[in-house]
Amino acid sequence: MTTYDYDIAVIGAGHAGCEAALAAARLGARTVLLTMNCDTVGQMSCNPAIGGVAKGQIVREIDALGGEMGRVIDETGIQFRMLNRSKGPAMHSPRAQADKKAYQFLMKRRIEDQENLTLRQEVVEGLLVEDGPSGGRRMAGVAVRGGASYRCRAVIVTTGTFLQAIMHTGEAKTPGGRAGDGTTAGMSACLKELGFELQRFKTGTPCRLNGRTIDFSVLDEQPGDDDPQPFSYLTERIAQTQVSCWLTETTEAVHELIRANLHRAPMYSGQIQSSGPRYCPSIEDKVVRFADKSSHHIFLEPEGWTTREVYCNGISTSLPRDVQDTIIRSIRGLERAEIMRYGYAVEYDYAPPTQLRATLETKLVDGLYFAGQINGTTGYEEAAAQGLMAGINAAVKLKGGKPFVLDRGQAYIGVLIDDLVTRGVDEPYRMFTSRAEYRLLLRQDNADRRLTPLGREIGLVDEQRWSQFVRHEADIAAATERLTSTRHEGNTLEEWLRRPEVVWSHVVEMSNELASLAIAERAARQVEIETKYAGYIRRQELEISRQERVVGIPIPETFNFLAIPQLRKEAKEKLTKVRPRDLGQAGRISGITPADLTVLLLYLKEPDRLSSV
Amino acid sequence: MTAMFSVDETIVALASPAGAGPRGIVRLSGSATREILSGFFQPADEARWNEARIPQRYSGHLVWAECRIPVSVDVQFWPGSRGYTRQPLAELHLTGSPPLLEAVLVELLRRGARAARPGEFTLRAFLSGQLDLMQAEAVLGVIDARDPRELQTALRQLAGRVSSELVAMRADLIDLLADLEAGLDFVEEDIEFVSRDNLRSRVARMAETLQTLRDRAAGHWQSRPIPRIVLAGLPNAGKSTLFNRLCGQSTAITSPEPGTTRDVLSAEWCVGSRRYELLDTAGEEDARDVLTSRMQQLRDEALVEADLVVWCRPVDLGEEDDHRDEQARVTAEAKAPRMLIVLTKGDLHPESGSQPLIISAESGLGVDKLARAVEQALASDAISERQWLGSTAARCAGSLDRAILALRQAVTLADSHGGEELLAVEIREAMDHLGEIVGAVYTDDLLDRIFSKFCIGK
Repeated sequence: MTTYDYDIAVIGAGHAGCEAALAAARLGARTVLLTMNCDTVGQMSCNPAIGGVAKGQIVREIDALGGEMGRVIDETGIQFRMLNRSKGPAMHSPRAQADKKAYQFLMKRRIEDQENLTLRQEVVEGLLVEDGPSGGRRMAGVAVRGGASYRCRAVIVTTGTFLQAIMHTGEAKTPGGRAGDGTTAGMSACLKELGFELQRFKTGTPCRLNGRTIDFSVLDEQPGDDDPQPFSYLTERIAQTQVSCWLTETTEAVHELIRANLHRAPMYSGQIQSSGPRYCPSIEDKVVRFADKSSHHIFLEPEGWTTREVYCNGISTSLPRDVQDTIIRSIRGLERAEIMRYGYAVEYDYAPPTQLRATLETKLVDGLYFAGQINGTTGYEEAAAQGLMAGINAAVKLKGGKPFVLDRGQAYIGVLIDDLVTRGVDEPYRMFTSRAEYRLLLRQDNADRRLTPLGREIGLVDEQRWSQFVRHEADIAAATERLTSTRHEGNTLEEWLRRPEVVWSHVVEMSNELASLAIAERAARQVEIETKYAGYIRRQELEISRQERVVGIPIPETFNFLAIPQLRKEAKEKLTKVRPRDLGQAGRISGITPADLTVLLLYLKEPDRLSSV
Repeated sequence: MTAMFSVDETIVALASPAGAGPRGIVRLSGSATREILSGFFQPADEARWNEARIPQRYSGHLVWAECRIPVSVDVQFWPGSRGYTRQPLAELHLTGSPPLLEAVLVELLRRGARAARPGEFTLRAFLSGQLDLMQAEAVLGVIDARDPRELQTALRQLAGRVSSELVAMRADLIDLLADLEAGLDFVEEDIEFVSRDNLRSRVARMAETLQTLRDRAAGHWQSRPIPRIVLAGLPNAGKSTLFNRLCGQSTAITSPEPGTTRDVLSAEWCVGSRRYELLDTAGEEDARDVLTSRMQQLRDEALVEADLVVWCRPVDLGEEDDHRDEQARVTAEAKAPRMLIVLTKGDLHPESGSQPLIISAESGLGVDKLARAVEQALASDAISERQWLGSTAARCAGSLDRAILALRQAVTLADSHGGEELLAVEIREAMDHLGEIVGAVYTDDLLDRIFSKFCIGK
């Protein structure tokens, strides 16, 4: 039997797996990335797009920490738009259509180029664990098909929708996590054997059309931005030409057709029992739940420069093939359209994420990490963020370092992981800006200022990124100093800039000294935003520091909640299940009351008393 | 929800038993104690107060806009860490007039203090090492017992009928926020966003409604000076006769005819040095017409706001009446915080003396026993509870004020074309403050609204 020796193994090379493997390798861990198929590394299984509201902010954060997603989409995007431009800067959200194949090949290339990282095609059949020195179990390696195994001290599982996956198109059922691919059957059984709880979710995808058969002349065009903005702080500008997306819509006749065939839709026939995301409903769902709407948008999104395949965003469906054909032919511009791939729903196992610590390491097995869709999330960005954090934490732990956990006031990534491990999920989890308490601080324009110093400290931020960041900060400091010290008609420039009608170029005109500083555009924009939002920013910062003092009190991992006589039964159960790491996290568990926290606090302050009760 | 652990905020509460008494004490603790008092408390010896380094007592006056006459006060002030909480601490010793104490409390809140939560002074003392866990546990026992049914009682009594309206208001705010957030988070969806005008008018209307509620609630949020006891029971149970007996007068018209009492009567019952407010109500019966249904309503309100309900049940009830009495009593008990059962008309069956509380208003039999039972029932935890209720009321008022402020700020933003994300901050803040009164706020509430209302998802 062949045995390979590594520090860390990552199972699955999707968006979570790629970031996890790159981060671990860059931090010096000898890492192997195992995939069922080396041709599907970094594949976009669903929508050929990165970013969007809240998600775009996450990509900026991944980039600020030294992740890869932002740089790859910048090079392979075919259309860039900044969403929510009409709103305040906290709401601005970058989004890009990707050349799907170019994206995944470039990601694969980055993996191949990475030192310390081996990409290997394998089918994983089991996890190898051993007894740890302190009583629990710990990771020992991974067994793969063909009698080989990989010995390692940490394993990051990023298997996406591939656990016990079944695809549904009408009455037809096919095992597999994505059209054209299989499923990983052994893994679910293995996780259950280790004591993990698994649940089922459902998600869906629409059909893809051949662009040659679409009549674009009758469709509404949706072009990219004139000044496309990059995702990565390292990308100077987006140089490639952009393509347009196209807009059409469903009609009452289409809805009628869907209603008439509902009994053949797996979600309605009872063939699928598990729940799917409410924010990404299938067209059958839309027609049933919003019966008064006579039309729904369909965005036709090209999948790349070199293919004519077009993604039909807005009509995700698992209706039978013949119904899908009829629906498509009843839509403006698609009368003669040909389906290249039919839409389908997929059901898969996920592991409720309350089984994880904030580092994404499982509570059950030392050195075992879960990241991405296996944790009940959706979205490439959410997956990549978890992969990055799991990769960092696995590598840091092997080096004996401290856990790397982001707070809710620091990053959307912090909100994401805290929500997952504290509250769990009851539908596939997607990020929204409304999930963040400190939305005005977590902006796409300042992700580098929030996170790059942390990335540097860990060792993921290289010299190039760091020196650029230092320059940016110096510009901001110089400009801020000048704004507060220079007066114009009795008021400081800062006071001028705070007025709604005054913009940066106006204050530059007011002061030659400010003009002579030649502040870079991005730094000037940053100063302008910080000045205009100043009151609210201060308010939210104050709130965070107030919370931190209060909630930062740590709860020891071995703390026995059951031994506190004053705790309510429900509180004991919930606290024992989630095992919060501090008082703040305990307070965010649904159903935990202030009285519970008071009791907890008292025992935390005098732990000796606890052992005597 | 975690705010209760912040030891940096300056907290305030009544420290003396609620109700009329020779003196009242308001306790204030936290780093801003001196700042909050400055300007409000005018010491007789200003220089000595300004240089206060050691715990001392200062005489002087309280002066503030709402009160035309300066109020005489003694302030015991611990400027450093030698007080009970190991933080700056002040005790304001005033005359024990409940409305005055209430007003001083409100003024201190206005000046930046926060109403202390139950047990919070003790918690601080514990955290600073002044108390050991055994002592702190005694406080915990109190907190435990009061949640959440006691909170319900408090809100029912103090916020009166306001709390249910607040729940509805909060739901309206979530609706509004959902409209706003949907426009922020789901920009690519083909949903109709709420217009600025619509938003503005809804926020303005809510600010107004809240203000009206606040004004109306002000009356309910006064602590009552003396305990209120309500006599209840089936018609012709002898409530009015007992009422007259206890108050030593014939305020209530009595007759052997059922349903003689048509209104709620009130008088003072004095037992030695104790005083109670005694209420006589119409008997429990089905509402037959407008008049009787109005009577029932009055009686229900009296039950809810009572400190103690004395249920009167004649000793000579027949089997059918016995059943009716039991039904009515159970219904009333659900509304009342505490209930004492007495058997009236004891003179009709003087020999069945095995029951503990048989009374006869005619002969005066058992009236002394009743007085002792009442005293016991109210003494058990009444003092601490009422004190707590007092701070609950002040806390409710403070939260409401802050919610109103946030909504007004939102209106200003809407008028000045402020960003929707800023409007959302204000509306969230208003919601959080209402949540402090009626329950916690979860983001998921909001997403539920959005998903049920809008067709989201490309």
